[in-house]
Amino acid sequence: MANTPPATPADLMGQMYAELERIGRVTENSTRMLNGTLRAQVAQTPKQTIWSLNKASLYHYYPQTPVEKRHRVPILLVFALINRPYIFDLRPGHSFVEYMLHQGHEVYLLDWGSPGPEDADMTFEDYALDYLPRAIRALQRHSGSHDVSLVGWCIGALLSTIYASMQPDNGLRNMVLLTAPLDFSHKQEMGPFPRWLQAEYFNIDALLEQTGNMPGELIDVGSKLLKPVENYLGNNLRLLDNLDDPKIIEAWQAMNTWVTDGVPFAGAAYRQLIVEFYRENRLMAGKLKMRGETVDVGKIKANLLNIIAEHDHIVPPCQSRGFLEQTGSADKREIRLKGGHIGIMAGSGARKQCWPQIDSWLAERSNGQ
Amino acid sequence: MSKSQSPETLNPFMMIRSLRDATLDTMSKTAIDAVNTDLFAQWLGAYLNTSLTVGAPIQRAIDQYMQAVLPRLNMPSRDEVTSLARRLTNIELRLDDLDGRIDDILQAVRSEPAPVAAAPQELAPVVDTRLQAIEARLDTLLAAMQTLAAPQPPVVSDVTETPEPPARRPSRKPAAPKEE
Repeated sequence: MANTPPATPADLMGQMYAELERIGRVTENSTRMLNGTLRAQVAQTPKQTIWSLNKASLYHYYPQTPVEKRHRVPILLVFALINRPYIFDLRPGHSFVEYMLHQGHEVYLLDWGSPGPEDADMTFEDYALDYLPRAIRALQRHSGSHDVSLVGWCIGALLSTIYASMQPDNGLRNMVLLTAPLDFSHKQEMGPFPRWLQAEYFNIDALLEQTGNMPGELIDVGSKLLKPVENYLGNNLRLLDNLDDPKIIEAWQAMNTWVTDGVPFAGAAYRQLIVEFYRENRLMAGKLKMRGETVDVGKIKANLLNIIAEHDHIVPPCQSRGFLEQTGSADKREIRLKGGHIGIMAGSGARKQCWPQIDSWLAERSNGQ
Repeated sequence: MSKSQSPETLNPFMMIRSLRDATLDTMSKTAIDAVNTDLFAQWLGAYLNTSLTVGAPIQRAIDQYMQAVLPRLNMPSRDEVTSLARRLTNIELRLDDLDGRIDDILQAVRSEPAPVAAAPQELAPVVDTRLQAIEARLDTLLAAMQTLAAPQPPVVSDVTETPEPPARRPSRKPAAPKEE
C-alpha cells in the first residue's frame, strides 16, 4: 500500500462507474435468484432406482463408456445419515458420479432416505447389517458381479467399516473411506463436539423423547456453530461479493441447496452415535457389539484406501489416522489431502486432487479375477 | 472482487472490503475459540434443556388433545399410522428376503447343467450295452431259425408228436375301455 500512488479523479470516476455497473449486474442476478429463475440444478446424472426398502433406495447410474472399457468391479457409494447423498452428484461438470462414470466405473448410490417417526428405533445395526447387505445383494444381482467396491463418506464410512468387519466375505473387494469418524479417543484434538456432547451438558434422552428422531435443522445448527462467523456471515458475504458472477452464484446455490437439505437422524442410531461412539469410543476400543457380536475391525480383508482431509473441522484427521493399522487388510493405503470435510470431494479442487486418486486406486483393483 | 480494480491505483471499494475481511477473520478466530470452551458447552446444554422443559408440557397437551379429537373425526392417530408403517416395513423386509431366496434358487438352477441335454450322454453307455445284448439275442434267434429252415431227413417214428401252438404275441392294441 505504501507504494500505491494516489488515485486521480479520473481513476475514481472509472472505479465508481465499474462499481455501478457491478451493482447493476448484482441487482439483476439477485432478482433472478429471488424469483427462482437462477437456480442450481443438482443431482442431474441419469439414473434408475433398482431397489428400495422402507425409505432407502439404490440407484444405478447409466454407464457412459462402452462395455469393453468398463472396470469389472462396480462401486457402491454410501453417504452419511446426515444430509442427502446427492453431494456425490452435485451438479453437471462438478459431479464425482459423472467423473467416475467417464473413467469407466459402474456406479451405484445408496440413498438412506429421510427417516419418519416410524423409523425412530432404527439403529446402526439396522443400517449396517440389514439395509447395506441387502443393497449390496441387489447390486450384485443387477451388475452380475459378486465383487463390489464401497466408497463410504463420513458416517457412511463408519457404516461401511462396520459392515466390512461383520461380513468380510460377502464380496467386498475394495473399500474407500472418506473423512471417516472411527476413532473418538483424541478428545482434545476433536474440536468442540466432544465437549458439547458430554453427558452432563447434553441430555440426549430428553431430546429424543420429545423429537423421536434428531431433527435435521438441529444437526445443521450444530455443524454451523463450529465456525459460526464463517457459516452465518462469511458465506453470505462471499455470495454478496460475487453476485455479478453467474458461475459463482451457481456453485454457491448448489452447495447451499445441499447444506440446507438436511434429513432427520433416526433417534436410536443418533443415541448410539453420541453414547457408543463419541462418548465411549467403543469401535476402536473393541467393545462395540452389534447383535451380540463384537465388531472387530481386524477382520476386515478388503483392500483399503483411507482419505483424510487435513482441514476437516467436523471429523478432524485424528479420528481416522492410524485406523488402517488395526485392520486385517493386506493392501491398505492412507492419503492426506488439503481440504475440508465436504470440500475434499465437492470443492473446486476435488476434480484434480481427490477424484483421480480414488479412480486410479480403484481401477488398479477392479479388474481381473 | 471487482474486475475493474487496478493494482496500481488506490481503490476505496477494495479498501473497505479488505478491512471488512480482516475484521471477519479476527471475529471468526475468536468465535471458534469461544465455542470450544466448557462455558459455551454448558450454555448450549442449558439452552437446549430450557427449550425442552418449556416445550414438553405444550407438546404433551397437543398430543392429548389430538388423541381425543382424531378418533371423533374417524381419523387414525399418529401412533396408529406409525405402527402401520412399521408393519409395512416388516413386510418389505420379508419380501426382500423372499426375493433374495428366489434369486439364490434361480442362480443354483442356472449353474447346474441342463438335465435334458445331459441325459443322452449319461445314458449312452447303458443304451449301447442293451443294444448289444439285443443284437446278440437276435443273432442267436437267426441262427436257430436257419437251423430249423435247413432240410432234414425224414424221421420214422411210432410216436406222433403233436406240435405246440406258437406263443401268442401280445396285442399292441390297448384294451378297450370297459363300459360301465
